[in-house]
Amino acid sequence: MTKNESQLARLCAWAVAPYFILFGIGWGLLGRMIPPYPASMPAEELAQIYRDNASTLRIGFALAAFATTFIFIWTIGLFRVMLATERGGKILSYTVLIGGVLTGVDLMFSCFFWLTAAFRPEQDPALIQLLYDLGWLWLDLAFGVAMLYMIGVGVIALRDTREKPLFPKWLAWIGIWLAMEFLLELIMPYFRSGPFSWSGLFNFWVPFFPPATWMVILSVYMYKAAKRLNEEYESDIPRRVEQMTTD
Amino acid sequence: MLQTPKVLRWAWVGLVAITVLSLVVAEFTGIPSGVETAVVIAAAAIKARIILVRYMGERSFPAWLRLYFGGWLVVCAATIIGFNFS
Amino acid sequence: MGRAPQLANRTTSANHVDPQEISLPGDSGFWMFIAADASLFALLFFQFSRDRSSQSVVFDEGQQHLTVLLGTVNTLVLVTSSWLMASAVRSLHRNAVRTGMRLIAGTAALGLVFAAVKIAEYVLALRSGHTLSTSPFFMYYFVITGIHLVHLMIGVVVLVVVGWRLRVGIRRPSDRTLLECGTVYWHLVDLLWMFIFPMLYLAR
Repeated sequence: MTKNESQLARLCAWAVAPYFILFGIGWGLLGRMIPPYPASMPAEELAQIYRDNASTLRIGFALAAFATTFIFIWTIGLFRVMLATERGGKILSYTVLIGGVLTGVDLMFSCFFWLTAAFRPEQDPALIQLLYDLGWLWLDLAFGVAMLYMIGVGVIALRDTREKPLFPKWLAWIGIWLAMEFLLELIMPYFRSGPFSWSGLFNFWVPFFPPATWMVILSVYMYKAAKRLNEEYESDIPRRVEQMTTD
Repeated sequence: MLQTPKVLRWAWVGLVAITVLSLVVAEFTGIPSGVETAVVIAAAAIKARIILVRYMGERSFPAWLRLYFGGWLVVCAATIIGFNFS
Repeated sequence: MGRAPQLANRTTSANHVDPQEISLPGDSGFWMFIAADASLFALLFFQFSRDRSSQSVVFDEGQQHLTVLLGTVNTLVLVTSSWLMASAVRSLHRNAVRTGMRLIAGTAALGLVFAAVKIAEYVLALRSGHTLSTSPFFMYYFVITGIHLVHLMIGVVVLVVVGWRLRVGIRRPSDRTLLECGTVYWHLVDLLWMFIFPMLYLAR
């Protein structure tokens, strides 16, 4: 990786910070999503909360939707690093790109539903509840796209044959495991309460926070990898120059 | 670390015996439910340990994994039994 | 005659290792996968036990509807499959490839038997009107055994892959690794059932 690309890729790795900060404040704090209101909450009660907190909810979800822009930046950097890491053909790298971008899209669009509910909270409570439900069902059941990029990164990392791999194997395996855990979301629509509902232990806490931590750790390795790839490139220049001149 | 066929076979015998014993204790004796739970779950932990050591080669696991599984067995058994008494 | 142009991201082969020669040391990341999986089940056991302690009547009532005999049969099936798999590993390490292949096939076959019995149990339960949403007990029953069953089916696929790749015996370090990972995964599936069975079927 040339020096310029490496610097840009490292900047992309840093994008994980504004993403989490803005999304955390917007969606988590102002959006009142940690934890979310249970699906069992009566529409009247939910609508009342939206009426009482409309201003903070509005700015929260608007901010959160914007924050996902940083996921796109991050993904592009990740993709470039994956291209250089991947041994052989580049299909998995493209999978990571698609998966990362779509994960950002998934998060962004879900915010629009909640934002709409907060935009006109004086309307029929049933509509507020419908929008709220829509946001969560959308966010959770699109998990497949996150699986794409997490498993993609995992497999690329596992297939790296450098003596000192760019990404640790344990990070790869944990990413693959976390991605597989998302499959539990498949039963989420059956429950309005309990540990498998959208506010429950297995379909909220486990699939959100460990993967977020994994993303941050991945970003650290992504940053380091970009540096190393530049060093690899620089140290390879003499060999390639020699090769060109001896032809 | 490879176990001999004899060890593997006896491990199996142990697992089958403990399974049958648990079944008998649970279904065919009248002991109080709290005690019964403790017995079948303890039996489960023992069976799990047999699998871990005799079949999975736990002795050659990295240190942290040995610690993890040891703790896992204790925590799982204690949790299930503990809640039963609460 | 010029050499073919190098791809932009090719580096000297000096710091790359032949992928076939990779032998994961004891602390390879796969153990993390195993530990993570076991942790999920520990969480499930915790959640189940907690809910049961606050609704013991409903849970005990639900348990009555389970066929303990079938659960026991499955326990014996799985335990036997672990024995076969451990024996298969031994055979392959001593280059008794045909025996090893037969034992792996036997393990996979028992895995399928387990799946068949489990599905039969599901059908029985569903026919009697018990579903994911009829009672908290059945929610946990279907979800916990369901997740376990998915693990088992993946395990059967892994066994087939291992058997296929090692059909000419262990040739390279990467073969050894594949065998080790596949075996450990299968034993984990068995180990988890050792807790799942008594917790759901027997304990009250």
